[in-house]
Parts: sequence; C-alpha cells; structure tokens
Amino acid sequence: MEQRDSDNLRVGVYVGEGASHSWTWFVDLMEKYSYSRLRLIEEDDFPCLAPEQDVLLVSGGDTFAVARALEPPGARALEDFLQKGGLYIGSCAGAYLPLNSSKAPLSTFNFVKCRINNLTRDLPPVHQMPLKFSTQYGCDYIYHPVREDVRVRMEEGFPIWGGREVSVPLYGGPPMNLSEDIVSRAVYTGFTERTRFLTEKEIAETVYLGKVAACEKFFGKGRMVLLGPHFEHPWFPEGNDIIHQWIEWHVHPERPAVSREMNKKPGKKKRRVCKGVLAPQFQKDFKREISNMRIRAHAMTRQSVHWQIGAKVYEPEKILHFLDAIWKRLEGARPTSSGMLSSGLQEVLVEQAAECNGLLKLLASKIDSREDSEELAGEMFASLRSLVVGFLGVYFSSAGGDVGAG
Amino acid sequence: MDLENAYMGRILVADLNEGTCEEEELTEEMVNEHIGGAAINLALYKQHADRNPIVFGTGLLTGTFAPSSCAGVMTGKSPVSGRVCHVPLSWQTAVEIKYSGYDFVVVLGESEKPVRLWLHDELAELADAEEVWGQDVWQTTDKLRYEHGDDYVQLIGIGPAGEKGCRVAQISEGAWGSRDVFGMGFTLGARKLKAIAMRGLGSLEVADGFLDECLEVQQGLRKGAIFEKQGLLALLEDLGVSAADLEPIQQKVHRHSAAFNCAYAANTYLMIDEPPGLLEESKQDEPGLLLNDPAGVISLLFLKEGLPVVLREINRQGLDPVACGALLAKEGVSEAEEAVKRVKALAGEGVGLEDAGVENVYGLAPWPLSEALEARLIQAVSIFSHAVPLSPLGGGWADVSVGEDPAERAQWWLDRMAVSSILGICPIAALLSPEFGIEKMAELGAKAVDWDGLTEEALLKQARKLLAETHALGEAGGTVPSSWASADLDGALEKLRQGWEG
Repeated sequence: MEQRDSDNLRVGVYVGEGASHSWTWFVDLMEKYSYSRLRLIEEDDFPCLAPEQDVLLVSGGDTFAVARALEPPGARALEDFLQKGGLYIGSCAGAYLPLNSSKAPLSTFNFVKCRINNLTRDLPPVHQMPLKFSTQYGCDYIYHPVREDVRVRMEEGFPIWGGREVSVPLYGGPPMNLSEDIVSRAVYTGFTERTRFLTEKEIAETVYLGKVAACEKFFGKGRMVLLGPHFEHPWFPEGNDIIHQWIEWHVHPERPAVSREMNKKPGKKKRRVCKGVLAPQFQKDFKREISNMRIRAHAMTRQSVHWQIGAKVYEPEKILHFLDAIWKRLEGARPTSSGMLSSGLQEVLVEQAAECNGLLKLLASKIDSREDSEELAGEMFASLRSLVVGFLGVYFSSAGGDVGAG
Repeated sequence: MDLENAYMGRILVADLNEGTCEEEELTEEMVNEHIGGAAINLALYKQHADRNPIVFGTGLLTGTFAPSSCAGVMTGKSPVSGRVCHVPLSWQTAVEIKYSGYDFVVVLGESEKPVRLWLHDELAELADAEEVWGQDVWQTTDKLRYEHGDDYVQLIGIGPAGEKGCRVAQISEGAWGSRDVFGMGFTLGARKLKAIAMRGLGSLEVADGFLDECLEVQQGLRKGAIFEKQGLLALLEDLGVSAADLEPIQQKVHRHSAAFNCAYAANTYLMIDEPPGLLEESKQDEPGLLLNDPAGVISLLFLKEGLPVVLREINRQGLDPVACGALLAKEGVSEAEEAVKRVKALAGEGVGLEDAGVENVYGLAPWPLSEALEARLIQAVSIFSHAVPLSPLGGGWADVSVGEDPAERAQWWLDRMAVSSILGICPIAALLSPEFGIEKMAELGAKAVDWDGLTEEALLKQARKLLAETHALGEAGGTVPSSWASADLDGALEKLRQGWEG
C-alpha cells in the first residue's frame, strides 16, 4: 500500500445488509481522528475495494446476513484487498465473519483459523436478557455469558498501549483461542462493576478470561484485525485510540502515532465542531422530519417491545442510535445560502426522511394496537439505514473531503 | 455569564395573522437587564404592545437542577380585568418549552382559522387545528399526543369554553387545569389558537458545583414539617380547611405527584370511576383527575362528594374552577349531576361573572377562604394569580419574619411571586419554606450562570420593577366586592404602589 497520512487515507465503513447501528460508531471515530476520506461501503462496492480503499471497517450486526449479502465474490474481493496491502478491522460480527466455519454462507470467508471459545452444545441457565444470550449455530449455540464493560490487557509490543489494561464494551463479540496464524494483541483479563452477567460468573470467567480479545493476521502487506469487544464505541476513548494506533501502525510501522487519550489535559469539555455545510431550508425541512422521528422513537423506548430481524434482536433504542448519527451532525452543521447539495438531492433526502417517519408512525400505531409489527420493523430499519447512509454521504461530501456514500 | 447554563438562547415570535414563526436571539444583554421569566416577558410584551401580544416565558432557573424549577409564566392582557397579568405555568409545561429550544414564545395577532403551534427541537410550526377545534381539553390532549407519538408532549390549550368566548375560560396545562384566574383561555380562543404543544430533547449545560448546591438546598427544604406530608389536601388543611370538609375527596385519593423537580408533591390524583385502592392497570383510559389548584378546590368544596366529577367537567371544558365555584354557588347548584350540566352550558354561553351578578375583584372571584386585608390587597393588585395561596404555607407569618401590617404581608407575597416568576421557581414552593427565600434563590441563580451581579438586592429590585411596570400598564376598571371597599384598602394599596416606585 502506498504510504499515506491519516488525512488522505481512504477509509471504508461497511454499512450494508446485516450491519447494525454500530457502524455509526466507526464513522464517529474516523471523524474524531480526522480521517476525512471516508466512504460508506455497501455490497456493490466490494469489487472495487482493493483499488479504492486503504482501510475497511466492519462493525457489529448479523454475521450470517453480512456473509449472505457479500456472497463469494465479496469474499474474493476482500482477499484481493488484503493481498494488496489493505487493512481490515472487524469488531463483533466483523470479527466473527472471517473466522473458520463449515457452515454456509460463512464458509466462504475462512480467512482465520482460530476458534471461538463461546460455542457450546448445552446452554447454561440464563439469568437475564435471554434474547441476547445465544444464537443457534448448527447443532450448537454461540452464547454470550456477559455484556457491557470488560477489561482487556493489550499485549506488550503494541504501540503506546502495550502492557496496559483498558475497559471496552462487549455486545456479543467473540473470545478467541490462539491459533498458529494469528498474533494476539489483547486478552480478556476481567470484569467491571458495569459488566452484566447473563449467566453464572464462573462460566463467564471460563469463557473469557485469558482468551484473545484482539488479534491480527498478516496477508502479505495487508492485515486483518479482529476485535471481540467494540473498541470503536464512542464512550470508550481508550479503545478508540487503540484503533487509531492500529491504523497508524499499519501505515507507518516505523513510528507510533501520538496518543490523543494519553496526552490529553483535563479541562472543560468543548462541544465538537462539525464541518458539514448544509443549505438552511434543507436543514430545516430535514431536521423537522428527524426531530419528529426522535420524539416518536424516544416514546417507543418506554415500551416493552423488540423485533427479531434476521439473527439480531432490535429494540427501539437502535432507532435512536441511527437518528442520533444524523442529529448530532445537523446540530453542528454550518448552514450556507448555497449549501453543497443539488436541490434534487435535497428533495430526495427530505422525501426519504418523510417516508421513514411515516413507517415509524405506522410502527408505533401497530405497537399501540398490539399487532404483530416485526415485518414492518424490518422495513422501517432498512429505510432508516438507507436514510442515514444517504445523509452521511452528503454530509461528509460537504465537509470537503473526498468522501461519500457508496 | 454562562447563558447556556440557563437558556437555549432563542425567542420565538409567532405571528398568527401572517402564519409565520420567526426566531430572535435571547441576548446576554437582555438577561443582564431583566434576569428572566416574567421580567423578560414584560419587556417583550412592551416591545410588541401594538399587536396585543401574549408571551410565554421560562425563568432563569426553569428546567435546571434548582429545587422546584418547574415554573414558567404567561403574560398578557386579561380580558376580565383589562390589566396585564402574569399566569404561572407549572407541572412540566414550562420545562418542556425550554427543552424544545425556546426560552420565550411571543404570540401576535389572531388567526382567521383555528391553528396550533408545535414546538420541538428548536423548530416551530404553525399547523391547522380544525381537527381539534370543538374538542374538549382531554380529547385535544389525547389527539395531539397521538399525532406527535409521545405521551410526554406537553400542551397549553383551551377547551370549548375558550373557543366559544366564555370570559371565565382558563388555559389548560395538558389534560388538567392551570392557575389561570385571568380568563386567558378566552384570549387564546379569540385568536383561534387552540393549543401550543411542546416536546424537546434539548439539554442545558451545568455549572461546576451547581448540582451539589441544589441538592443541599433541596435537603434543607425537606426538613420543614410540611414536607412530612404530601399532596394538595395537606396544603388545604394547612390553610385552615377542615378535615371534615376534605373527607369526601380524601376517600378518592389515589396518589400524589410533584411537578418537575419539586421538593413537595403538591398535586393529588383522584380516582373517580374506579376504586382508589386499585393496584392493577386501569380498565378506563382516564378514571380520575389531577387536583393542582388549591383555590379551585376550595371554591367547589360545597359540592362535597360531587366535587371530583364537577371539577373534571370544568377541566374538560377549559373553565376556571374558582369562577365556576362562585357561579354555581350564586345559582344554588349543589347537586353533582345538575352542576355538570350547568358547567357544560356555561362553556357555551360566553358568560362573565359580572353578567351573573357574582361579586368579584376586577371581574374575578375573591379568594374563597379569607377576606383579611392582605388577601384583599393582593387580589386588588391583580398582577399575579391568586389561585396560589395568599400566605406562607407550612408555617405562619412569624416564620418568615413578617409582622402584622397587611401591606407588609401583601408585599411579601407579591415579592415572592415576582421573584419566583422571574427565576422559574414554583410559586407554591416559594411559599413553603422560610429557608428557600429570595436570598437563597438569588444564590442559586448566580451559581447557575456564574453571575456575581445576581444578588438578593438585584433580584428584589427587579421584582419591584416588574410590579411597578406591570401595574402601570393596567387600565382602570373593575370593582372590588362592596363588603371589601374601605379606606383601609385604598390607603394600603396606595402604600404598596409607592413602595414599588421607590
């Protein structure tokens, strides 16, 4: 890979089918560290991965749905990307995806030999959140004894953070067993007061402690980084910095990057300034739809409701996560008289938002009348994902970088 | 001054004639000059005086961690007194105005067709209200909450009484009544403004140490004897209402609830159509009502066990319970079913108290419990709502170091109301505890926005200025009950007014 600085490194974030809301965390992280050439990647963009991207970020979601959507050509494109020096960083579902599997469609993504340590045939008793506890995998189950914060220790030799322990959130990501083809970069070392035990603590200790939480495998000049926990979660700045270090390490193996987290001085928190530029009328019309959706979604979070979409369980909170990815950027965007959008594109986005709002209203109505809302929820989430991808593409384009939606 | 700790920085000007919503900046200079709440309301009222404005405002502390920071204020010309008045907003109403992104909302002119205003996340929309015009307060509240998808949407609205030009129409806060004794429901109806609905997910910054100081004040407040009790009925007992008179209502008490951040749960929920001890989910959409207006309850006590159903109808029609109580008493209606029918009819009659021959103060019914000179004085001034009790609560005048001079007592009450309306403190909370005086409120305000200039003296000066300027905007008019008229009253009134000028 041609040596690039972070401001011209081409970073792709996978936002396709099967990706859950956590891809927006990677977007936040890239924006935070000023990786301005950001592209939101969908399945159709995979054939051009190698020539067009330097880094590919794949976050959480439904691993099976991701593999199904990418199909074998997607796997081949990924291999080509790695062979040509690309850096793949996958967390949670993005970490499960390239692990060896005998089951289709995952079997086309057998890039890494290591085995997960949370596979069982006999599930232990579940104490809370049963829907989040396990997923059937053939005759076995992939199960998740804990959620929320866990402690991991970075291995010696990792830039800046080597030998240090940090807290990062775990939402179903894998504990991995060491295999010959990977280098361990972090191991699970413990739990915190914020850890939620879904089953016996002893079982959790056996499943996680001492197992690999982060590792990498080299493919020529390329490398694949697999993260069990969501190091990219915006509330975990140390985890964010570790991802930043990893990217910089890949680009500049000879010198470590400056650690923002270690060098930061205590002081009054400043509001983040976004750079997007949006035309005022568009901003107002679009904001109206997003605000109405936020209010409705907030109300939904007070109801006991969830939807099974594919292998994933979705709650109303996820609607808010998606909407917040737009909202916080609308708040900071600078309106100008011209904006950067063609009027046609503005209309499309506003119409898309209104349509999504309509679906959300219908969904709320079905919930109120206690009708089955699973199919409609799937439609609404697809519409919402598409809306967020569309908006962020426009937003980052207007921020001046060579970026946009796939 | 850290204005972002207290205000969103926006004033909305909604022109009903033009159908437009424009934003203006709330500047630091304005806050420096007027502090907030009713004082800024009045400045905006004067600025737009030629358009007969109504101003809804939030106080400097509204929606902050400060104890009892639930309050806001509506300022406008009362159709019954002809004077400019300040109506307290409570419950969650004012907090939601601020969190929706607007600190002040100025409504100008009148619309040709029914409209409603929807405030959300720094956006304001004037929308058609044909769908809810003609609907009662409960139907309107339900419909608009459904429309916007959230039961947390707060509303200031009117019922059929306001729409039909009834001069004792009250503004409603959500499904419930308010402390509007100035007929402002008539004013909204005359402009064809059916409702203002608000929902915001905004937030304020918080100054270092402010939360700790608020918690300390809150803990201090809770040491008062009144805080061992809960609910509106306990306040009424404290005011001298006999337990026997309250017994029929007491039997229907289901729960008590506080307005936003209030130390005392001053609102009491009654179950009417279901047993108050019911623990399972209600079979009915709305089986009871919320008591939040002490004066209204006192005015209707003669209805005995019929009070809850009659008050529920008064709330649904958007009428002033104090005025309704005076009218029903005058007409000798004391049976519940008959009273409900009369209330429904009243809403459509456009009647005023004077038309019905009810003795009143500037068109309004006198405080039902007391004709003490200080109470007569306060009502004759007619600037703040006397639906709020006219004396200290949970203690006597001695506890607040006020002597026997009626003018001094009236001034104490007026000062408390003025300060609480400027800062956004619940007016009832401002009467509840000697510890939560003007000095403490000024300290909290100063700490909230890091403003050394906000002292007790400055706050009191602003309060007196508010009284003087509001009073000066009034027109002569109205009478006091013949039994009240006396040289004492005239002399004490004059003494009060001179005090404000000074």
